Amino acid sequence: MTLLKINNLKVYYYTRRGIVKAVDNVSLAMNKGEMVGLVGESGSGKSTLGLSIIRVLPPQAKIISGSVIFNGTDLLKLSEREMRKIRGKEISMVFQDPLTSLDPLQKIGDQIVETILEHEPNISKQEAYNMAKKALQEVGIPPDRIGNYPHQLSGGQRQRVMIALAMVLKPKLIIADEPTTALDVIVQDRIMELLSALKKEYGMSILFITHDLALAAERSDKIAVMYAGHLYEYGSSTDVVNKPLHPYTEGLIESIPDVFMRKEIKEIPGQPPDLTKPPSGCRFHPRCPYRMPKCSREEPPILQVNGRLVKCWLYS
Amino acid sequence: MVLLSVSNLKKYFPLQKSFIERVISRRKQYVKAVDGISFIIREGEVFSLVGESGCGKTTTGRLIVRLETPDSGKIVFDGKDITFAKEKELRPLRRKMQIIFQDPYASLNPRMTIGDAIAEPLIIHGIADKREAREKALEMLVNVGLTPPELFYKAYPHQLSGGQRQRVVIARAMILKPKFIVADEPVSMIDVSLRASILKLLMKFKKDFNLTMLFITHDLAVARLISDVVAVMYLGKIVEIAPVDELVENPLHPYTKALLSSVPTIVPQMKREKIILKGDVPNPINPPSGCRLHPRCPLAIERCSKEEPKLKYVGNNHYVACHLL
Repeated sequence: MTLLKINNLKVYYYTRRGIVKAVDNVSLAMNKGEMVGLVGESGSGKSTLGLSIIRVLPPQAKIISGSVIFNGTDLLKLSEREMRKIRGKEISMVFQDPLTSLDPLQKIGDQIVETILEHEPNISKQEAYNMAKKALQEVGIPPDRIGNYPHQLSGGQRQRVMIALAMVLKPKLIIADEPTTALDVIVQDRIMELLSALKKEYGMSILFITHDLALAAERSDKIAVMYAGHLYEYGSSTDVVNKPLHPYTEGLIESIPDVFMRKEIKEIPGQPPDLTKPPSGCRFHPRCPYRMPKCSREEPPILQVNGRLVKCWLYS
Repeated sequence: MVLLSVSNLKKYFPLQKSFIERVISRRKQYVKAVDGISFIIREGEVFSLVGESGCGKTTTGRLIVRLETPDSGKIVFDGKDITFAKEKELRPLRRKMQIIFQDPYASLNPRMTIGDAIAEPLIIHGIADKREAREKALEMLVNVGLTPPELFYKAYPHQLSGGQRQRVVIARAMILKPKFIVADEPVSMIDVSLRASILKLLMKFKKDFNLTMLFITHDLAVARLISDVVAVMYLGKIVEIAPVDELVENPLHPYTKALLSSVPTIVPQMKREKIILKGDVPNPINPPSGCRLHPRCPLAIERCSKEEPKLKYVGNNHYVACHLL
């Protein structure tokens, strides 16, 4: 069952350097209870896409066109007041840096209670407190920590609090934007374990935004690969990693070393483009080893190949 | 031949205290960043120090190039004891050992052209005059793949991407043809698709100039690619040292096993048993007694909390500090 359907979304940033086409005509569908890894490098538009879903973009960004159908409603058509009811309750977000997302002057328990009461005015304070306690316990924070301030916790614990905050109202979708990038590998593994558990336990869908293809592949059901504002490949994790179709995905896999496999690494030549003047046609063409004359002239359509979506002329 | 040998190296950083805290308590507190580590690096070898943040790997690198002075222990580089060498004695050494930092944005003077930044060490060390230095810098720009060199020579750091800046930093470190380089997380701030090219560049220098390297990283995948030997650090101690393939295929220390079972991989079928450590890394001000991992280790026995395990040789150039072996 489809939970989220993004159609032809365009989000541009209006900067002094010009218009940055951060997300340019991206469509993506996500099922209920699914974890989708949205993979890309910095500047690929992956975070912008995440922020557009719950409409918390910075002021210089503008949603130009497209729709974000969540559970049957187009989120882009809702008023700010209606949107506020969705954020935190239906869709919540976990960011990379929990220190900037948590209020340093408020006890962690109180922050969770506040979120609950904001959305559920009929719940008593005591009840909300119990819910907060239970949520913290579920993410592995001992109950005696409920009166702690964020600075009293370790980085991993803070991220757990963020996740408790995000899941306490049992949203249908959690958008996790690089939730483990600031953390050490052992802690990262546990946070990912926790997200997987939430998915399993409550059937939550998780949009997991990351630059780490291996991490995404290990944990997600599907992988979506973004490059320079376009979505270039979308399919099941095992398929994408074992048999990448798009040359960028292939290049990315060949460029990353793996601890359990001794292999040669190959670099992707060139640099990601400046999105104020993106390359014509396929945005990957200047770096693509398989480019054809057509690639610089015409933007490739999104094609369905073996149950996968791929945006590349090689398959038409 | 051994190029660098480090024995029982220690560095404690005193904790900053407020005035009132100083009045109330006389006892000075220290962060035991590096607490008695020993290892050797052979010529032409890439030796990696891996571990989580706060394990002391960066401090070790800074001690070796003597940006910090050790509290005790011994560092012998190229046959010379440099443990407490003075600044004047260190200068000729700097020609032979260089360091590359993580952040290429903070390692370059924003008001100096790329070319001048690369040529500067030659002039400082009196190796070349201005004209020769320029020639050599241009040559080095080509070597690190920044072409056309004339164009890059005149550029300023802000005009370059992170990956290009890191190439400049590498060029500047390599211009003196050092024997030894400490590379401290040189790719962790670089975009994924560009990391490969930086790593390959370092590997090329290793091969072409028989460069010896101490490579500091938190990323075991990168360590697997680039290293000959890997040492795993935890809370200021080395817990395991082995040739890289041996370490990955036959990890013996519970901490190394825990690290390896947490690393993301695209070949998950290669993952071994999962070792789950309890809790978080403890405070390095009051590290646990005995084996520092014991409060978190699922296999800990009574002895682990009482007696500190020493690095033991277990064959195949493999050393482990664990009572269970």
